[in-house]
Amino acid sequence: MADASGGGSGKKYREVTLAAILFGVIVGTIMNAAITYAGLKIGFTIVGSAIAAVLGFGVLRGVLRKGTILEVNIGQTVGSAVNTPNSGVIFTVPVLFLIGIPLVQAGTPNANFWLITLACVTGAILGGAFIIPLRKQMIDIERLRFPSATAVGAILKSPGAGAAKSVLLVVGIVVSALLALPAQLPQITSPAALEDLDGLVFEEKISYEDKLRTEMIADWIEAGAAPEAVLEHGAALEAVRVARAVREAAASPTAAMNEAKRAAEERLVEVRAEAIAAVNEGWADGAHTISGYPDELANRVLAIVSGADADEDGAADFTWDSLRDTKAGWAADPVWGYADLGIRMGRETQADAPAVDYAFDGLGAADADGPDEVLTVDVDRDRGGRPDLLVDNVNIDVGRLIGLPDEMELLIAIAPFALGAGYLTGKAGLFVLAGGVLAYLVLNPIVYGLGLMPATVEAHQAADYGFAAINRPLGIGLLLGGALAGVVASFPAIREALKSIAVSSVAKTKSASDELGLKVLIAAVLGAFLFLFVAADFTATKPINVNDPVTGYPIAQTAERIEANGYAIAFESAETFATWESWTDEQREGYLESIQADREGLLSALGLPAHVRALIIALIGAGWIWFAGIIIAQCTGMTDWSPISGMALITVVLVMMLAGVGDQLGAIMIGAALCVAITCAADMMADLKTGYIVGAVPKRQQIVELIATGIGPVISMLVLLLIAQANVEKFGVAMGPGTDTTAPQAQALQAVITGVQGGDMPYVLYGAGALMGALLGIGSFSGLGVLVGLSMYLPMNYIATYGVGCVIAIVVAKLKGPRWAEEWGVPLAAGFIVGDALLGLGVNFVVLLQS
Amino acid sequence: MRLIGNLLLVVCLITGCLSAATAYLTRTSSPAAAGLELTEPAGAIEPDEAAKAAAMAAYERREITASELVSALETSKPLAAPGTELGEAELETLRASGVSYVESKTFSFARWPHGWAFGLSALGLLAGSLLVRAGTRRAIAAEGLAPSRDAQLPEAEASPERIVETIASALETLHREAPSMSSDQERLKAIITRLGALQRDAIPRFIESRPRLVARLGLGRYAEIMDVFAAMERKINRAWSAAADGHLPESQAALDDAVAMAPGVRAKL
Repeated sequence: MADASGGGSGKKYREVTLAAILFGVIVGTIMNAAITYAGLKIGFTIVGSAIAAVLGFGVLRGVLRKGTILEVNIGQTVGSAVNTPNSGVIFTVPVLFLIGIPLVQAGTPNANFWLITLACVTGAILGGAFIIPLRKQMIDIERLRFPSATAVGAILKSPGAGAAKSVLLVVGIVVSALLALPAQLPQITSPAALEDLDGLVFEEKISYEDKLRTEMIADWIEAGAAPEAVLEHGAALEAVRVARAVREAAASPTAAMNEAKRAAEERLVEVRAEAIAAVNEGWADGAHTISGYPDELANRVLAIVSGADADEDGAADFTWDSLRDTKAGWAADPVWGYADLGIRMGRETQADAPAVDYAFDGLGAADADGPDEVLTVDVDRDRGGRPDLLVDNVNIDVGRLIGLPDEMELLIAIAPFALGAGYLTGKAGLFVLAGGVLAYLVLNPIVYGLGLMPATVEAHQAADYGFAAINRPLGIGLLLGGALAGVVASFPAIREALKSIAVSSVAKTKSASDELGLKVLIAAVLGAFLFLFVAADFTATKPINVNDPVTGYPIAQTAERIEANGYAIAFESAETFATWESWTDEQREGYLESIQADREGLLSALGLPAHVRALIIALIGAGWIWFAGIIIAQCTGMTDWSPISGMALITVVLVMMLAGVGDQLGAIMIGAALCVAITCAADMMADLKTGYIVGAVPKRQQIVELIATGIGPVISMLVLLLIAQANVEKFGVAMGPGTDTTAPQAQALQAVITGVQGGDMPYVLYGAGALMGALLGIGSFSGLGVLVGLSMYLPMNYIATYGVGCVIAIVVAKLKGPRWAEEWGVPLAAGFIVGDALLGLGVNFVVLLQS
Repeated sequence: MRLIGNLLLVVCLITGCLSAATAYLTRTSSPAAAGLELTEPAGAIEPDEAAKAAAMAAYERREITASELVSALETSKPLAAPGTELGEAELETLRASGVSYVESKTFSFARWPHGWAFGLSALGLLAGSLLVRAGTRRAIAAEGLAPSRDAQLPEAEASPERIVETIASALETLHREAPSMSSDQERLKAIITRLGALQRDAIPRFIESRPRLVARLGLGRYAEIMDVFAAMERKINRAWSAAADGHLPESQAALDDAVAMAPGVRAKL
């Protein structure tokens, strides 16, 4: 029960202490840096509140033997504030690298880098500041659940809740970790043993090509030699690195430097193709050819043959044995997971199929499953010759288990956190499940059945096609419309909440001091708006082209500039400008089309000058950030899911429509500010909910969070910069395919930008969804449109698990009463959320160490 | 009424989504289909014998695996690939193959095959929402909202006023009895136990009375009540936390604040 860690009489009750703040900053910084890297590498991010709360317990209460419940709350508030911005940063900023907008010049961060960093810091503060006035409405009045925040509250209260509930919390953590372990462990791999290669191909853990490549590398290791063409490949990679480094280091790169870089890159493409052809020709037994191998293999072969010793320790950097590495293309053997249970569909042979030799071990040779036969597509969708797994490392294919038609996909993710979140959400979560059922079990099958999908889409592909082409755009629209309806419906509550804050700002009562005054908020909002205007103005007048229109080389310094279709175009010299002037209209239009500058934005089409355009974009941007923050906070509050990518998508679309599709820097900058803002808004509100549960003073949390949240984007950006620079040195490319950090979420956003530029966005679906969402919100439950939209927007497998959690909560409440379900179910559900997060962090830490 | 409204909502949401999904489709029989650029493949043809033979030969040369062979033998190819601009010839081929719709990236109300269905669905959603709203109001009114009627309700269904009274009484009793308890440990235990009971029972019951209060008083007045109630509740939570941490002065101070706020909540109701 009670312990004396609070200090007792005579000592102040510990709440906002140096220990809590330092703890939060340190833990938040470590989590931010690690998760920034993990997010870029494998798309993994987590909200750190639960982890920070558990660690806070251990450190503040356990080690320092001082922490009170409210002190640990401040620790987790600061920790999550510092950590949270990383998801907003890694979703957006890496796109700049992918589309070739540099953030570094001559080895140091350039103006773009600092502008984006400032945008993210502004977004973080703006997100928190904008959402603060809605604390009363969302937490005090609407009583949004915030499942994860409720779970954190349960963790914080566990010392006083009684031993039984603390045990239940720990049991939840352990059970969750055990359930999630076989799902997460396969991310950890080791170089496969040669004798295991056939088995790994059979188990479909590696491809036949992976096996061939590994055997090829093994032959090289044994011979102590590799084909000459591979050495040339390595040499070409080195030449590109050198040419890029020379160019990057120069304050004003010369034409010769640019030409040398271009020539080296073109030579690399040729040499790479020649090397793969040579490797395949030299293959000993004429078996199946390989399509390629990682550049790292060529790098190491060159280093081995040349005896490179970069660290000058007298030992070569690489030996032939060092090729036995997954980074060099050696096959990866994953740790045991659910897929190894081998729960598969039954065998069903396809009639009239040709004789095939799946493993190239002789026609008709049997494997563990049976003879080499072509199976029907019903049981073998990937045509790999084995019945498909019903339970893999991520999902349980319930749909196929119970025999649903192929166009009805019902996957349940093995995700304890979703189960816990669903339990904590309870009945309201059923709307989310209903939306998922609508999308995957009703809408997709009907659209497929009516022949409204392309004929080349097979039945089992209907779910994926429907998700991308129909459900997601409609879902985003429903979200927006539903949120708008919700805001309108909540006007009386919002008005009362704002009135209360305004009165509190003037009154000097004790409860008034609990709230951050309106003046602080107004100052934060005005400051942020000012920055947005400056940023929008800067990008509006900044040339959109990185390379000179005539030479195609990167522009070091702008000599001349013009305006075309509302965009500024730069020239590196008077000569190239003169050449431009001599071009025909067709040539100029062709160039403008190539850089997406052929279509002007809405504001430019209205004839508005650049500064006015910037002002309007800043106003709309600030308004949109406010609205999107509300949407995200509401979604997180109702369900624990937050459609950040959807909001980022709309932001990019909105800014590109206003400023023009060529203004990618402006769109991404404001997109980055928004993404960081909305993640911080949701985090702020969740932390305030936790604070409410334990009786914290809102103002104190708000102040520490607003200060701490500005640190997060700086850390994320610096880590991003370090990674980009390391990638350039190692791979010649800053980010994306061809590096260790593929930035999957940024690639998704890049696809959106390409879609906007190509005019491929399904705007009508967004609009139709918005109308339906708004109409749904008119009913008695104003959040209905948001919930249905959210579930259509998210993949079904996690929605299904979440829905199972909701159903369990309802059943338990029915059987044992709602009070019992709340009292005993919440600690267990909280444990499920925490256990999954802790395990995920641990496994990904191991994966990062391995890499 | 609510049941009809909800059924209407479900049906119209489905039909609305289905008809919205056809927004970028154009019937191949429509004259407007000519000149459109496809964003998705149209039609499908099975691999011909030449393609199958080529795949088989590549497999025998070990250039492709058995999996790739099987896929190549089975995977149909589109009649018209994305990016194709539909001329009369292409349209005729598609029609002859039984292709009813093609998808392009440009939208036109005139070409939207089921736009009318979307319009009807939107009207249905509006009607359904209004029916549900009206039905909910009627149901709450029928439950009886007058305080005098509430007084007759059993404890489990106590009115919001009675629940607040229960909370206020519990606070005042604890506040009154705490000084006369024998030790600090006893006071802390009493705070944790009694306030914990309020957190588990009375407070959630008051929160669950939201629909009745909103129906009776309107959202604005409800918000005013919850503003002061929430402040009191936060003090209760703080008192509990401080007691769990063993800090009696903070716990008692928070309890004092909660007791001081209780009359304000009563007055608002």
